[in-house]
Amino acid sequence: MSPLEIAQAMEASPFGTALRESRYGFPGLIFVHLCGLLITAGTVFLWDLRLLGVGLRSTPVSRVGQALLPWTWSGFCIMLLTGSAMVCMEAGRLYPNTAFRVKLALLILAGVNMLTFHATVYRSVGRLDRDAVVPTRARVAGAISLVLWFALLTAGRAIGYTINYGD
Amino acid sequence: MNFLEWCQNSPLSAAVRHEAWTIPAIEILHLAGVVLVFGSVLVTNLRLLGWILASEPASALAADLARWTRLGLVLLVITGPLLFLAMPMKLFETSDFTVKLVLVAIAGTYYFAIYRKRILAAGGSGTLKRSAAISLGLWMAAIVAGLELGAFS
Repeated sequence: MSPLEIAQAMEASPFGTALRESRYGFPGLIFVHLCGLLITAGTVFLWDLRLLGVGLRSTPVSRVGQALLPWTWSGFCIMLLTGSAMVCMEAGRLYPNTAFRVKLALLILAGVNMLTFHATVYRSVGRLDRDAVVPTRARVAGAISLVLWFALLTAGRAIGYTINYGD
Repeated sequence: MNFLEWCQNSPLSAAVRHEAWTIPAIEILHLAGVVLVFGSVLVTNLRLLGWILASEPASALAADLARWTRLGLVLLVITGPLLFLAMPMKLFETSDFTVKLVLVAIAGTYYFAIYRKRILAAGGSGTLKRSAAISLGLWMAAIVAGLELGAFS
C-alpha cells in the first residue's frame, strides 16, 4: 500500500466517514484543537521568552520548566488527538496538501529541537538557574522554538485556505 | 446597517481584501496575539491562585507577564479591527460576534479597571485569589467565544 492509498483508506474508514458526515465534526474538532493550541503555544511561548532571557527573568529556568511543562504536554495531547481525528476525516485531501506536509515537517523539527535541547543545554540546568545571563546555546534553542511554533501556526492556518474540495 | 456598509466601502477595507494573502496573514497575527494574552494570563493567574510557582514572588512574576499580556493586546487591537473592516457583514450575520465583543469588553474592563490595581497592590490575600479567578474566567470566556467564531463561521 502506498502512503496515498493508506490516506484514502483512512478517509474511507467508518470513523473518518462518520466525522465527515457529521455537521459538528469539523467545527467541534477544530475548536478543541485551537483550545489545545492556546495552552501549548501559550506556555511554549513563555518558555521560549525565558530561554531568550527576555521574560520571567526573576524565576529560575528549571522552575519555569517544571511549572509549564505539564500544561504544554496536556495541550499537545489535545492537539494530537483532535489533529489525528481531522486527518482521518480528510486524509485523502490532506495528503497532497503542501501546507499539511510543511506542518508535519515543522512538527518533527520542533520535536528534534526540543530533544536536542534536553540532551544538551538542559543537562546543566543548575548552571542555567544560577547564571544571571542566559547562555547563547539556550537562547538559540529558544529562538528556534519560537520561529518553529510561529511557522506551525502559519502552516496550520494555511491548510484551511489551501485544502482542495474540488473533487 | 449604514455603519457596516461604510466599513465595507472604506479604502482600508478594500486594501485588506485586495490581496489574497492579507486576511490570512492578519488572522495569523491575531491568533499569535491571542496565544500571547492567553499564555501570560493563564500563568499569572495560576500563580496568583497558588497552583504553580508557589515559591516564587507573585508580584515580580505578575509584573513581568503583564508586559506580554499588553503586547498581545496591542497585536489584537491592531489586527482585530482590520479583520472586522475586511468582513463587517459576515461577522454581524450571527449574534456570535456581538457576544464576543461584549465578553472582550467585560474582560478588558475588569482587567484594566480592577484587576491590575489589585495586583499592583500585591500580597497573597483572598481578594487577590478571587480577582485572579474572575479575570482568568473572563478572559477565557472572551477567547472561547473568539475561537468559536473562528471555528463555526
